[in-house]
Amino acid sequence: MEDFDFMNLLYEGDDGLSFGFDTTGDNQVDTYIQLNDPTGQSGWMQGLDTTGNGVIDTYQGAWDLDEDGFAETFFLSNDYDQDGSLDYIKTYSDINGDGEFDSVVTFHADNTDPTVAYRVEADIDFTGDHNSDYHYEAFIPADNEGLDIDYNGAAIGSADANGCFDPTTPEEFVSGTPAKDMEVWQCQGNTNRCALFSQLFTIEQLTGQQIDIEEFADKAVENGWFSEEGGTTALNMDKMLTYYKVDHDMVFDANMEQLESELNNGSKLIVSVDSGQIWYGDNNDIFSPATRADHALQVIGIDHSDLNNPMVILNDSGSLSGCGEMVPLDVFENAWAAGDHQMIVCRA
Amino acid sequence: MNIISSLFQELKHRSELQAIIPMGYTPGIPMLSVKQDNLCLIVPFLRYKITGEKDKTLVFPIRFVAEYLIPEGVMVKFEDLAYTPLAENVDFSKACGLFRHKAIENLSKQEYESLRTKTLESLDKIAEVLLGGAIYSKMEHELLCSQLQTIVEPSLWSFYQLLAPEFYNKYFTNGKD
Repeated sequence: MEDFDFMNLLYEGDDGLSFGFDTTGDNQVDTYIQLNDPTGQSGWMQGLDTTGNGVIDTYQGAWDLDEDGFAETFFLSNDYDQDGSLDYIKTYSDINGDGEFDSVVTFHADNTDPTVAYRVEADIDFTGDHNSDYHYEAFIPADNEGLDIDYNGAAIGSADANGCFDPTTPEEFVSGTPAKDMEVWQCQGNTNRCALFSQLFTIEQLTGQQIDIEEFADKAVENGWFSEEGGTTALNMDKMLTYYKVDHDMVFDANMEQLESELNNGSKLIVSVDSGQIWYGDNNDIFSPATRADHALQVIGIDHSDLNNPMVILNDSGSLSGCGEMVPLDVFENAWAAGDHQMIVCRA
Repeated sequence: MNIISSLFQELKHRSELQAIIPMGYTPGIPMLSVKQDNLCLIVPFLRYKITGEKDKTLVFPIRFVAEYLIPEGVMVKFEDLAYTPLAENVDFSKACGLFRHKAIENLSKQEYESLRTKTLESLDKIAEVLLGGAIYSKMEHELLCSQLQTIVEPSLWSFYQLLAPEFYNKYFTNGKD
């Protein structure tokens, strides 16, 4: 068997460099980073094996396709079913170089029609008002011989419409200490580790320890509190807090007043929510039949800068934009209700 | 009587389920079965993964099954299908279908929830009949057949057939099998 160090130079040539990382120490490369692409345009790409099964299932990166010295195109892709072929690719591009993305292109593998490889949707914002001015739909046939493009003028949607918390927001408008709490955020990738990451964030915030997520997950698996394929049960969401001797209470049927009061008392809070509502709001086209909470995250603050539109601030390991992710209070309330208003209150 | 509707609403609050079923698994449309002269509600639990794309929410195989005595609402059986012979043929980590499927692709979230409520109400009616308190018409039978065949993802029908064969034959095949 080949021996891998933490970082390994896998390829070096005129067209770029490629590194492999063994982040879990199991002698298998689980993370790849490639600098410069084979066509000579500058950029980087990261490949991740988020489940540790040897299949690289998540790619992200940025390219400077017009070679002006700035990366204008970012992409994210996932192999959801771990079969080695990408199911979802999304690219964001800043075509006019004004610092804001104005083009979004999505490829989605179509597993329902054997004649179609990918459905493609593209939206372009020509006017800079964050709405799509042109919407294209296309498909890539399984034989990959061409594109069939239809046009309609639908508006673009965005899971990140509310943005993330600005740490420079004056403290008098904010409950909790979100700016500081955001420092420990990490992304869980394509795993079921949301409750583990929420507990890890909390322990790091309250104790100042830096904890390795792999060791943390191993400990939870050993004790039967978590499994990689199933995740965590609602009543096991505090077991690692107990293991690390963090003073905490788990309550159900809590309310927003209690939640904000605990934030103002310096407590760290973990809640269970319906992720669909957090990420996609009340979207009539993107929902699931789920009636129970499916996701754990940390509530790190409430931003009252706009008195008429208070925003709940989250450390959400399940979203790439989850560091200080903001959602309107009413949306959060509905998503939290799916989890019976479960709240784990943690104190130093 | 709305035994089934009430129990379905109550499921997410039940501490026995919060203790044994991981977050993310949600109850699917339940089935009825008569076992040893007792009426049982068979509740499947499965997970969905929203990908952010319209009609591309991933549907995973039914993983857990809980059975409740009706009308008492007492849990009499719980099974993790990953530890049954079914696991030889099913990869529970891989999606088996997409939501929304064709029969409901035009339903909004509210319309979908309304259809689910009405389907549960139809099951309430059947439970009432089986418990000996009501009369059941052919029209009501046809309505439930139509509701179940519309709302249950086609990718899950084989699980329904396996978990409650009589129920499946009666309501999913219109008695043709």
